[in-house]
Amino acid sequence: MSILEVKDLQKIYTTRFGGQKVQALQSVSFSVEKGEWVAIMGESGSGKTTLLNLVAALDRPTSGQILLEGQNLAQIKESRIAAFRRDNLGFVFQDCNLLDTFSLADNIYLPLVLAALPYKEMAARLNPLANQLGISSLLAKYPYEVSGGQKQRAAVARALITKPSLVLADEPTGALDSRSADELLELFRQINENGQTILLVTHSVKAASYAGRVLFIKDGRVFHQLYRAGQPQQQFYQKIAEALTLLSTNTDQTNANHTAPTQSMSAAMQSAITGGVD
Amino acid sequence: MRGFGFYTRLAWQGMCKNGRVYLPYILTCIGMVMMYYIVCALQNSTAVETMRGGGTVQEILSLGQIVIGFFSLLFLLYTNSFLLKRRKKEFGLYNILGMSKLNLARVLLLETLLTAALALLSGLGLGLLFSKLAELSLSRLLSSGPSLVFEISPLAIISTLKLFSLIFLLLLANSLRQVHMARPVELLRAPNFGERPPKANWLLALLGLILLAGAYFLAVTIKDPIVALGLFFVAVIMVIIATYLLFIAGSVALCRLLQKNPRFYYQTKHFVSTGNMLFRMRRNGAGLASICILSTMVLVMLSTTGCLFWGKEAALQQRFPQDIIFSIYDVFYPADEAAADERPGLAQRQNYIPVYRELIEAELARRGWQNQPVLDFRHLTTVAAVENSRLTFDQDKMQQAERLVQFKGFYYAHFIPLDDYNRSQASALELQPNEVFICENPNAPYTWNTLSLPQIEQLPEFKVKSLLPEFPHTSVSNSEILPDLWVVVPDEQIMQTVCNVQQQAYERASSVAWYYGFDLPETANPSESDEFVRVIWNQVDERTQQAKANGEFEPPNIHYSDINGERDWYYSMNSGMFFLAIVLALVFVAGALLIMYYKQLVEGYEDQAGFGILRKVGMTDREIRSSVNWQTLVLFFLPLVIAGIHLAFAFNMLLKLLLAFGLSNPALLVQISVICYLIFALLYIAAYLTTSRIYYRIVAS
Repeated sequence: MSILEVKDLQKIYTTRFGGQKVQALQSVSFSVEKGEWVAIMGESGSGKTTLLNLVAALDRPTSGQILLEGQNLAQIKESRIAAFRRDNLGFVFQDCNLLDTFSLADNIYLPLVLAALPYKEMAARLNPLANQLGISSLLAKYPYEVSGGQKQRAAVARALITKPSLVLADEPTGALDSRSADELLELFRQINENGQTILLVTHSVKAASYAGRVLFIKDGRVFHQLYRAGQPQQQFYQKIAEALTLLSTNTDQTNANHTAPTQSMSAAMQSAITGGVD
Repeated sequence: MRGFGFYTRLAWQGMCKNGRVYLPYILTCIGMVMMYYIVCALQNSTAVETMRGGGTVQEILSLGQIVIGFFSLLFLLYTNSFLLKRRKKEFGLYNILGMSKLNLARVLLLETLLTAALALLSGLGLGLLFSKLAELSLSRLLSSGPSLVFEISPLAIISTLKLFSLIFLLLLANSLRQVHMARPVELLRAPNFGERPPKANWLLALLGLILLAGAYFLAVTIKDPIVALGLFFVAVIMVIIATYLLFIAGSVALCRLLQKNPRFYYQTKHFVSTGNMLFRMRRNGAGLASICILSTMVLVMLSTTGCLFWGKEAALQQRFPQDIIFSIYDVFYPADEAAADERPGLAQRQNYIPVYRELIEAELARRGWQNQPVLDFRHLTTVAAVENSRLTFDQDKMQQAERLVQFKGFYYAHFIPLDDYNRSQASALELQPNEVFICENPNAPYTWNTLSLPQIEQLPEFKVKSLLPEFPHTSVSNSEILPDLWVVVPDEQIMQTVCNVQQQAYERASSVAWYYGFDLPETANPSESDEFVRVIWNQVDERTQQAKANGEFEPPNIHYSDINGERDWYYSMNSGMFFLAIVLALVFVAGALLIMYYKQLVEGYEDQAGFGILRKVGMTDREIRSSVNWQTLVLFFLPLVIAGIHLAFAFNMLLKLLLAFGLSNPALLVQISVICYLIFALLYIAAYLTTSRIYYRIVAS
């Protein structure tokens, strides 16, 4: 069963005084299976952040549906949405987004405190998680005292501590040096192998090559999709790089897709089946 | 010069773009200029000078002028540095885009000029407009008729221009210094890098607590008004230091303590607020403490001067119990011929009492006032220690008591001959030579059946025949500082004996005196008291001249006090202080509110990012709102509440201070303090509502 199902998603931003309309997402459909690690790639302005915000229920789609574990996000009441987000989704951001005013432990506790869990249970959840992420010795420190990689681990711990059905990661390696980035991605792999579903938005081919499947987004549509299907990481990396090159050079096709979105959808489906691009 | 227009535009745009921070700043400048001009104008106004007691008020106002000038300087420096901090990034950008620091200086110069021009023109304009209103309210306070002339005081304008040009020059220098010192990269850098969490400084927190407790203890336990006057400033300084320590260190310590308790800390309600509060208190502790102290100052100033203003007649009556009081000092009753021959001049003086009495009574009769009740008695008034029915005069003991500020067992003893008591009270009491009467004093009851003066061998141990009713209030009673002890002795010789021993004991001793006091009849015109006193004075003077011419001993001087002559000065003094307190309160309150406004603004910007994260992590808007609400509420109302507590603890001390000014009316002080506090709280709440809206708008965006 799919954990996440996105159906024909469309998002149009209207400028404040009603004048201009900007189509951020045209028609996006995909689904994520339980235990899967899906990466979403695309250039700046391709709509991937909009997509992530919609999946995170931080924003509402213009049309289309998002089902998270069968629950339609649009049907959740506004007052319940924050709690829903807290219970079902974990977030990892590019700039960690840890609160400077809290120690790492308190930062990790934050979603649990908001969920009003008793302190004993919170502590019981934190200890094994901190061990797994290798931050046990850092818990009492404040964000300004630890390195970027360590901060990001704490952010991962914060995302995982609620045992969410889906972890959303927005460019998590973006602000890290390459060694820390590798370590973090290894960590994600570990987590994923333990059965955690992950949706990763990234620019980085390296990061995407860790995933099991890569969706390419361009001009508000899923343009292409690649399955790893047991390939070695190096080979998958190559494939992704090639796909990206194709994505940025093949402007004619892009224009054509603009006029015929359905066709492009079927192309994407096609590549989903074949598991590669020619 | 082509560049000029460009820079002017840049300066103007810079101010407009930052309207949220600039507008309140300019309004403050205008307000300060206006207030300063008004105080200056009143001080130089001929209309005020011609008011009853206007001269005194103008003297008081000249003090206020200095305070306002000084406050304006400090306060505008504070707000200006705040503005600069906010605009550093903009200047950094200009700098990187190729504007030299010289050009930046030019923009700053133009901005300062624009601000100064705006502030001075509008401030003076409003000042001109409102100075008449201030003058009218002052004339109202002094209960003198309004003048209908509209005055423009060139002297005040010049003084205002001088002061504020200087202030703006200093502000400019400060801005230039800051821009000069800053490096562009620093100017551009976002102020958002991780902050070290504040450590709890338990020592300072404890010190603050101890100081505050000490000051409160001092204020609550103080009994003596003179001591209160001296210790008031000690207590004020202790409270100021304690307030700063508690707001800066104590608050952090408290948050730390709360964080150590997981049951309390890890609750949705407390979690975010406690953590945020910890950081906020470090940034804002000093500002909040300043607000708290300014508020306390305003409240203390308004309630005491208000009390003096509304209680001025009561205080006057306390000080001048009868409308007109005549007295003669250094009266001497020699024990025998030898004693009289030793000091012939002094011995003569007693003979003048009936002479002067006759003069006064003749004048009373001439005016048809002869039926007015009169207090007419001789007395010896001195300080004495009374212990276990033994009354002694001991210089060392008294000096020690003064040093230790511990006057328990000391009395203001008044010895009055039986004849004089009977005359002034229209009674016909009798005493044996070994008996005395003692007048009741509810504040310090005399509990023994006898009274002995062990220092005087020739006097027996007196038996207290009975307690008489409380002696009427006179200007020689001094119930505020030491309790009065009125002793009615059988005759004036005993009084004189006591006087002699007392003179041997003390360096600065008293003498026997004569007291003659009466009220004007209600039908009399207040100005008649002055005429009355003058008539007597002239007659005494005539006799003195005559005695001099004849080579005789000079008659004693006659001293007098005239309540109606004092009333103008007294009223204008108290009203002037009240008026000044109102003016200063307005300035201080404006200052406190502006500090608050800027605090909210800064915090809004600082909290923006944090609340963004909380929203993403799954905090509902409602939870965010309630957390923000709670924090701003605590931060905002903490100074107000603490100021109220300070005021409450100061109550006893303020009461004693007012006693030193001759006012004893606790109910009035309570009323006025409570009213002042309520008005202040209302203003405060209004300011809170407006500024917190701005805060929400920033945080929510």
